[in-house]
Amino acid sequence: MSFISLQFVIFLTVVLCIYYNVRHPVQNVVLIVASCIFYASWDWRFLIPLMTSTSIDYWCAAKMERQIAAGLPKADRRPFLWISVVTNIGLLAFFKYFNFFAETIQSGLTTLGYPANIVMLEIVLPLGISFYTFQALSYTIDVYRGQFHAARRFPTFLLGILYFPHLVAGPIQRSSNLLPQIVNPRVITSEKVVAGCDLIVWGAFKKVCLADNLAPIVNEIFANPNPTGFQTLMAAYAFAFQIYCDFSGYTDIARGLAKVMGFEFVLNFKSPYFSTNPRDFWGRWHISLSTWLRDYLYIPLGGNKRGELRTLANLMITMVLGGLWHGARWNFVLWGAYQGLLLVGYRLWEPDLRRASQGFSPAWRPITFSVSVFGFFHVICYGWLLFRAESLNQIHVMTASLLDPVSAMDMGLVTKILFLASPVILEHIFQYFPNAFCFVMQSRFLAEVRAVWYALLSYLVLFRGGDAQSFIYFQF
Amino acid sequence: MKQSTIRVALWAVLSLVTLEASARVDDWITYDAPILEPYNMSRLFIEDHNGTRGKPGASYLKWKLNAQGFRGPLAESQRVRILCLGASETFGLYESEGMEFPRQLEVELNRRLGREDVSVVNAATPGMSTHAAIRRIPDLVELARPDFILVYPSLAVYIDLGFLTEADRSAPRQEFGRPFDFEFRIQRRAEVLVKSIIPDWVQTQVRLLQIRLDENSQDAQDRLPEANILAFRNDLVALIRAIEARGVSAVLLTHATRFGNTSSPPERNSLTAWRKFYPSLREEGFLDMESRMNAVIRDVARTDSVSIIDMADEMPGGSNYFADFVHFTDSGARVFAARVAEKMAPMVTESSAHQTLPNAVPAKKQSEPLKAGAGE
Repeated sequence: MSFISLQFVIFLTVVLCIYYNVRHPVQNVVLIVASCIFYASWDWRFLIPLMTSTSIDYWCAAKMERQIAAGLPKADRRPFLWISVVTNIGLLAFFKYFNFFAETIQSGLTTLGYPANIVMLEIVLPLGISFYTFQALSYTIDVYRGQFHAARRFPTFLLGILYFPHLVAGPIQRSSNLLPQIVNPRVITSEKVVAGCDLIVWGAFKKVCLADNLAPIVNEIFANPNPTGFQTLMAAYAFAFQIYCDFSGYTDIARGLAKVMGFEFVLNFKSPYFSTNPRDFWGRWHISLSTWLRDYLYIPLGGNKRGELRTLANLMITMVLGGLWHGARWNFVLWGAYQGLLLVGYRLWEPDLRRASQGFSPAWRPITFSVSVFGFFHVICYGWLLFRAESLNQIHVMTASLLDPVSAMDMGLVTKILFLASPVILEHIFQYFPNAFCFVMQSRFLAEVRAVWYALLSYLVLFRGGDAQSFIYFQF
Repeated sequence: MKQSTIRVALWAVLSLVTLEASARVDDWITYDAPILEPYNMSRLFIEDHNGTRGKPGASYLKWKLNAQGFRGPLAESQRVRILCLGASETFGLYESEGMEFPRQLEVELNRRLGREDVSVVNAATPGMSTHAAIRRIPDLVELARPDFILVYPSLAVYIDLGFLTEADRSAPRQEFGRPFDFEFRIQRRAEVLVKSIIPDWVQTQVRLLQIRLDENSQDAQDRLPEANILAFRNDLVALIRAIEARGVSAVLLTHATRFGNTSSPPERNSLTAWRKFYPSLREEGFLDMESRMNAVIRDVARTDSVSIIDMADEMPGGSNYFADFVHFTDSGARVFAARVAEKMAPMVTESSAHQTLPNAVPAKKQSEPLKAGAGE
């Protein structure tokens, strides 16, 4: 049951009708049942690993909480943390990475002259497993660190993991953000509902009208075994906007759904293509993942506290694992490594870059900013080529083609991509310079403007959408 | 309370106006459609003393007519020309641009002949009855100068004889909308959207309800009366004679449906959907009607010694080939065109070889005076 389907609209209508007509503790029960139905609608068996890991995590956290209350030392809590980590990582490794590593070992042994026949598993990857395992891990780690009190009741924690708006593709919620909202009665105001509707409609527009219309352009070029440099460049641009519209569209819908039910989710995107450097980008792109990686991987590895060389190594490890989190394919590893190298390079040359930019007078700032954004956008786009490629050979072919990016130019294709990207660019401007547009939100006729806006976006979603494509991040 | 009601009403009106404006601008961008004028199928057709015909150079949505008012490109003068006569099945409703069966027939025939030797002219008009076609023959022959006229008659228009009275036998204009009608363009889109997302079983139940309501206001029959079959036979014979009187060879096609030769229960929904347009005949009556009218086509072909291609027999049924009860999908039009091309290729070859008009059919035995029951 995708967010973009009639079934979901009916499902949501029924859920909201019930939800708005019951009081707080019962609302949670409604949401748990609804979330189970939502998840089981893909495949009821997906509930088994989810319930297993959730139960174990709840038990581990409860045990650790009791030890904290008893004043026992941190070391005593460690076994429970390990049980939780091994369970979550084990499930993820089993479902997502077993075949990948088995294939890698098999081909490695064959190359070394020891042909092996490792059994491959025929299993379906449970939807959203990467998201909910990270969320559950953050919960037990926070409890272990004493930064957060374990949930008293299992249904509270279960809903925190299972809550359907974020279950399959995030944003990855921290327990410290979501669980208090579950425990306490929600305040649902008309402003919140309207803000939620704004996000839902805009998210649906980005997914259906922009991402799904960009998808055929991207798919066609990536299906071409020998694209020209110009086509590769266009594919990179188109995919950059497609993946943004697809993922941020999903996130907006998820955040909007949460809002109409009185919840607040964390922000996941903040005009990422207006980044001027890699660090800036990771503060704006998939924020819930990048902050998770920072707090639960980079900092535990030592962060930047153990010398420069170790810091650079930590950055690389974090980003490579972050790439692998996206999927069990070498191009994701390569993409992670590319992002790691960018961060490492930026860390090394940041002082020089800063000095260079300080050489310009403030009057030049808009120009230096624009040049930085434009230049770094191309750096991001190359990363998306690595991300989207179907094989290492394709990466090689496409990279080589980029040496001549202007041959066989097709202005029609440029116009089409620009047309589809223009709402994203406007959205970026709107988010980057919020004060410049606050007059819109202060308009006396805001409700009327909104009526027109909803009608226009609804028209585009209903009648000008591309062929329905699954959300890209559902595969992760 | 009153003020808030007015505000909500204002929002509703604003939303509706925005939706309608969006639809109009969308039509303008996509199809170069006028923003303020009515935009419906009537843009494609004009009325003259011989009834309805295609308006030269007109376009509406995906449909575009050429400078002669026919769908598709202009016929090449040096080629054997085949003119296709029929209703929406021939004109093409659901097929993609260039995939309607006359276009695919041209491609297929030229492929079989190994040279660009044939032009196929699509002179069909949605809703055109066989009777209406008779009046069009002189103009069509004058304009297209065909060597063959392929007649693929639409049968359902004979369900309601009142509709085919002399006063209104040209074509069912109400199908096209009227050039001066105001209509919400968003409504048409919404209907298509709803149809595409509502499950089939729900749509069938709604149609059954509508049919039941219609049945209350008019009598529905299980079987098409003999008089209707007879009217079809009379019109078909007259059409054949009108064609051959102008030295053109007629080729008759029997009428194919989604059911092929059999009726399978899971496909009953499509019969119900079809019945919505013809509530006076019950579902079972359609299959019986098709069978009896196809028998008439075969009989007329035999008695008038006209070439016939028995597409009712040749064409496989099923939803892959038919979008509804009688209209083709792209694949359906392709299969249909291939089967017709297979039978027509020898006729075209012969026509090219003799470089004469291929209407030298065997000596004609004129049809007997029309009798009831010929279609049984």
